Amino acid sequence: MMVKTKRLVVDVKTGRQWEEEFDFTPPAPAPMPEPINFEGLRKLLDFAKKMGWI
Amino acid sequence: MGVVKTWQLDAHKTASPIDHPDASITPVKLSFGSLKKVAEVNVTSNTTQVTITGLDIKADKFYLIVFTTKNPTATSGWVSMYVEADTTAANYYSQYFHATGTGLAGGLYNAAYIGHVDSGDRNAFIVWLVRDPDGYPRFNCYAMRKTGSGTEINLNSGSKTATVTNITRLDFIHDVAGGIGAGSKIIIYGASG
Repeated sequence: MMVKTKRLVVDVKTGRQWEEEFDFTPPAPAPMPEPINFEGLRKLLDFAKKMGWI
Repeated sequence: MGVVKTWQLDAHKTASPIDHPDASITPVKLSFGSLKKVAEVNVTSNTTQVTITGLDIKADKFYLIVFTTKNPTATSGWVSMYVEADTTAANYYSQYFHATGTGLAGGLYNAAYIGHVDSGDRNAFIVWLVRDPDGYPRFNCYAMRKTGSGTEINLNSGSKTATVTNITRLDFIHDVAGGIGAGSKIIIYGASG
């Protein structure tokens, strides 16, 4: 859904700085990847070794 | 004209003075080959986007961007960095890696993400931005996401899918309206000589 929001604009050549209002449509949130838990993986490998599976 | 004195140890560990005329050491010469500050932006009220114009990466060679920020909203989101006013996310790719406790994760995004700022939390981005020999903008961002016991290492590397003739403008945009909170600061450095 579009919302009115603002941007801060800075021109480094002139040193001028001002705010502008603009229409902003928030993007669909990108999913964060699920972390692989290496501690859990290590325990699984230890267990598999203990059981003689690997 | 005065002199600037330095001391040099000889083989017998005896210090001998060397006088340099003032004219031989200048601030310009001292700064040659180091960093110069190109821009400093202080965000004084919550905003969604910070646009910096008047840059010249051809003259400045590269940019080192130190961006400390906070997200005062109730929604987490990514911060994207766009070049040359091209704010179409599909024209960029960003590869992400993060370490949280003993967990590791990664992902490739068709977007210009430099880092993620969680709701009500802070982050700091250290971004190296270059224009490669063929003209593609490329960046690497080291981000210090979350705070205290939740601290994470976040890395994002990316590029634009098309070339540019120069980088004169940068746009930093948070996914969430008002996601770049008051107190956020962006400092940009380039090569001094």
